[in-house]
Amino acid sequence: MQAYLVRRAITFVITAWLAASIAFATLLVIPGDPARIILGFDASPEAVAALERQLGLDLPPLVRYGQWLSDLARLDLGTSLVYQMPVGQLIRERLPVTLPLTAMALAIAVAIGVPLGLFAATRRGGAADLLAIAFAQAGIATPSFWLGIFLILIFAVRLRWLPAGGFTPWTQDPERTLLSLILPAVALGASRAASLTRIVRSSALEVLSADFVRTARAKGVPEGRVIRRHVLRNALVAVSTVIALEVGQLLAGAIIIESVFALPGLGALVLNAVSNRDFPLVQGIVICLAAGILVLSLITDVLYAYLDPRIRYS
Amino acid sequence: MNVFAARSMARMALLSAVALAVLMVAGLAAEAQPARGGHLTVAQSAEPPLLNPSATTATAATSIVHHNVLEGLVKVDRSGALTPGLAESWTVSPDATEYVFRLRRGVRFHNGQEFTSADVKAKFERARDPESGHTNQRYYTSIASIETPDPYTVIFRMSEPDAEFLYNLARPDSVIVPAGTEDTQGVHPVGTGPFRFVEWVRGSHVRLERFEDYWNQPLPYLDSVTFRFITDPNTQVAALLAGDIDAVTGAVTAEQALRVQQAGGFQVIQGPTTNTVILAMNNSRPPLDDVRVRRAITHAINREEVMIGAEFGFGTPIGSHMTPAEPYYADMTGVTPYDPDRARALLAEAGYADGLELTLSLPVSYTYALRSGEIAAGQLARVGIRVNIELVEWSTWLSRIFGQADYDLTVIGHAEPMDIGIYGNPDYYFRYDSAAVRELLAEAKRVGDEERRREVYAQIQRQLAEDAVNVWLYARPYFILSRADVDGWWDRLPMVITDVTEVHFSR
Amino acid sequence: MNRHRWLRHHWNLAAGLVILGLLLGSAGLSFLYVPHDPNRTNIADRFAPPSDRYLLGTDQYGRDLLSRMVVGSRTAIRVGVVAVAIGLGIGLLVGGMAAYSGGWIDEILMRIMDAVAAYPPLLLAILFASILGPGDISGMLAIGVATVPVFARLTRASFLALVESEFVQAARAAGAGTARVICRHLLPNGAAVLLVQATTTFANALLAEAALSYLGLGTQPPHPSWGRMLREAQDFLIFSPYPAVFPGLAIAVTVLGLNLLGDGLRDVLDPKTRSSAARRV
Repeated sequence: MQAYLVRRAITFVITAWLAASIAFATLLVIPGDPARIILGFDASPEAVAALERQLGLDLPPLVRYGQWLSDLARLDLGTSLVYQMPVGQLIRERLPVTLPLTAMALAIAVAIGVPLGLFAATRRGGAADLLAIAFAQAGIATPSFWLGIFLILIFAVRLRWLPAGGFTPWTQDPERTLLSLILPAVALGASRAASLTRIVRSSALEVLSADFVRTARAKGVPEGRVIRRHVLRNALVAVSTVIALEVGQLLAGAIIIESVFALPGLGALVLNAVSNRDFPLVQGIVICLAAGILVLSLITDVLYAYLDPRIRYS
Repeated sequence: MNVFAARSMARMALLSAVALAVLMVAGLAAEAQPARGGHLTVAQSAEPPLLNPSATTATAATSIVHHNVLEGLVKVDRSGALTPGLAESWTVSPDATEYVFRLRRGVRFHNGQEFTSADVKAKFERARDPESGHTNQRYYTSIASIETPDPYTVIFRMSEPDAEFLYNLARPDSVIVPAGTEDTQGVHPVGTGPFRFVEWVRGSHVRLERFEDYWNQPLPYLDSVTFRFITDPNTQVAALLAGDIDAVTGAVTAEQALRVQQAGGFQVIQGPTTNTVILAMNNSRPPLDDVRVRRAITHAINREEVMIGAEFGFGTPIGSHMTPAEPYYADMTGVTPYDPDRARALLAEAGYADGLELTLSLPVSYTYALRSGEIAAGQLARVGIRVNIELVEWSTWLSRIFGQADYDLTVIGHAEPMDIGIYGNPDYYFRYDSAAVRELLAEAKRVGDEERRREVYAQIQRQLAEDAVNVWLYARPYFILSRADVDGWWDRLPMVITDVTEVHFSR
Repeated sequence: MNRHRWLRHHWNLAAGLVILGLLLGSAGLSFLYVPHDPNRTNIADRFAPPSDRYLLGTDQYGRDLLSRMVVGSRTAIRVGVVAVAIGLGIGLLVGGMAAYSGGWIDEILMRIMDAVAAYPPLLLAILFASILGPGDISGMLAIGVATVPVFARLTRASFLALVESEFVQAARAAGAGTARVICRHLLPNGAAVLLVQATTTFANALLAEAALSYLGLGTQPPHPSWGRMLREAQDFLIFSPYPAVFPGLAIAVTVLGLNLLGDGLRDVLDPKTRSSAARRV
């Protein structure tokens, strides 16, 4: 087990380095000039050149890459060109928005997807199954920004139950903060709930037709127990294997949802950073997102080994 | 035509509502002193990178801090006229080479420091130092020396006559801050304005509070103001309708205004701006270096249609690079009017009887530019000019089109007031090179006599229109969407600011 | 099984095929006939409701919605097909190479795949759009590249399973060359999983194009794309709902059709669920 973990840690570092280097290389070929964006419309060429010198943008790419890597090794993500603040601090400021948003969306997805998928599988072909499938298909086929706008129109403008957008800091009024995250989390989680419904349903169907379930049934084990012992467990295995992927999808979706709901999260930050050509900031965010997803997939693998009966029984 | 009618009815309804709102404001103003107190939350779409207008030209920054937090020696009032700011009065020598300012006494900065001539001198020494990284340094290049005979007098001596200097002192770049605080102004602006900066939660909002020691008592009326950043225009309107925010300012679109108008219970304030929307042409690139082709393009454009498609008919058509909201405006829309037949004839004369093909680069971040561009492309197609549309991001637009003039056609709004001087720079992205216009611009800067200046500016506008440097489409409309019980908004935008000094709740 | 029973068990496949057929049909038809020039603006007729002249009404520039929808189906197909081609093409190559070579080549290739997979796909699309300029090409490329790891892993897994299997061993023993083994035995057997994934990728590409259009980085105007039409119409909802309703429906129905098709294909091609379906009846 220890050898396995060491090996995983090494591959984790290599993969993270590769992901970071892809980001660096991408940003090298992106057209656009951060100094000019900072100075604006009517900046003189001299002023632009002076600022570039000041920001170190006139150095050759390889020198910048080396510098950046050695900073990274010391966990220093550099300084944002536009905000003139440490990238690490900028990212930390945004986490209290994006992490709860993603977590809530994931919770919604699991809370809807797992029971609905199981329920549909046990009533395969029936009206309930059809409804569940219809929900799942509709959920996947609806663009999230579209859903978000309709949620705002219904729950904020018409009914006035929830805020239309914006974010109250947790320290100010936690209750309102939570309220302001509900609509975005629903808009973000809906399509994931739909996709989980499908995954759980098909994995449950597979288990229900498996030999050991038939044996259990034949031995007279009550249906409820069969579902709990075998089907639910296997459904959870199926869910756990896709969780890293789902979180990746949620983080990507957050980029759009945060802009629909005016949330000051990581997605809004990265969108701004890309359009401002704030290279250190984009790299920093990309590395953090990639590292997060890689850590999750590591956890998934370990979890998988723990949950999968085949591995445990062997 | 039915939609036309419906649209103009919608516009009429809105205009009469605006008129009503104006009447109501006038009635209230006559009644009594406006109520003091209250907190106002205003939404604007963009968040600035920094809050210091002498370090960034982002209008998202100036709209928050200029006049509200930071002030200059001279101010623009809501009619566009220059009024005393931190300078109580001034005298200008007849040849416009010497400016003497008498400063207000007893003015305090938000940090408690007293405002004196030393702060003014430090500010403009920095502004004219090419190494300082100050924005728009061309406004300050004619300053030869700055003298401060006493704490309340500042004398600017100019190396050449500069009749525009006074106006430039009213711009956001010219705000006065306590000497030595320049480095922290970007994240924590400190000035003399009616509101002091409290906090900036990045990605969310900037919060200002009433400055109790403001020199112009009893202003301001409000206790505090929050500028919230909401990118999506639909979310802005939803937040206003849901009561989360009190007003939307900045880049409000006509469809937002019409939606709020339709919802009822809110006021929509509409007026002119100095934002000149142009279909810019690369005058150095064939076939656009031929004035006949540029005139043909201008004749092919129906400005009214562009305004309907881009702004629901709001705005003012213009024929040269000045707007009715600017002091020396002259109407040039008649010089090259909409005339597709004339356009075809001119194209044939220039040797393009079989048509020609051009690329139109549009900045994705500006909806009005996208829409104007799409309609203009359709109109050009009708006279035989095939237009390929290419979307570019704003950063690419800045570096490639603005920086290197690598384009045929583009659409953009020049928001800055009194910026006709750009036509004197042959390296500007229009790549327009005219000795005659340069000479006229120099004269306009020299002459102290108002009547003569007006004449010279009219001549410049006419020359530009005749050379068909660009197609001047329209001056953008200005909207503020606000709760019905908030008064004191500016009903026009002579500079890109959201001045809330006199805004108040009516009881 | 008679036809009736086939339909009952494979209704999703049938529905998916019908929807796909409609999509292809409308795209094909658009080359032969559209009622109006999809890009011709006519300000006087803007926001016209559905009528004899404009069957689905007009948009904010007075362009015919039906014509734009029909021509937009070409964009939808192009976006989907190119995304799948990139994802499947590169994924097949990388996954196959990894599985076949094994050892350190396998290790390196799969680590690169992990690195790419660690990017949220939309972020990748935004970066591509920044490099190439906004447009549907960036969207197609980004979705394609983002799904390369999925295809590569699927390919590798099914190849690895099959390489060890008896009939491939037998083919090898009989002296069949590498290329022949891949073409004759590995590809057809891995095809089921990949085909299902391809339908999902196609659907995702459509949604990604809509998302990119929301951010202003999608298809270039005036070319019609459903995602862009939906985004533009959103600002004009109170003036006319039609420009938003129809493209939104088109995206939803197409994505639905593709997912049904995927499910149906899985049922038909995957022996496990096939047997289970048969047993339950």
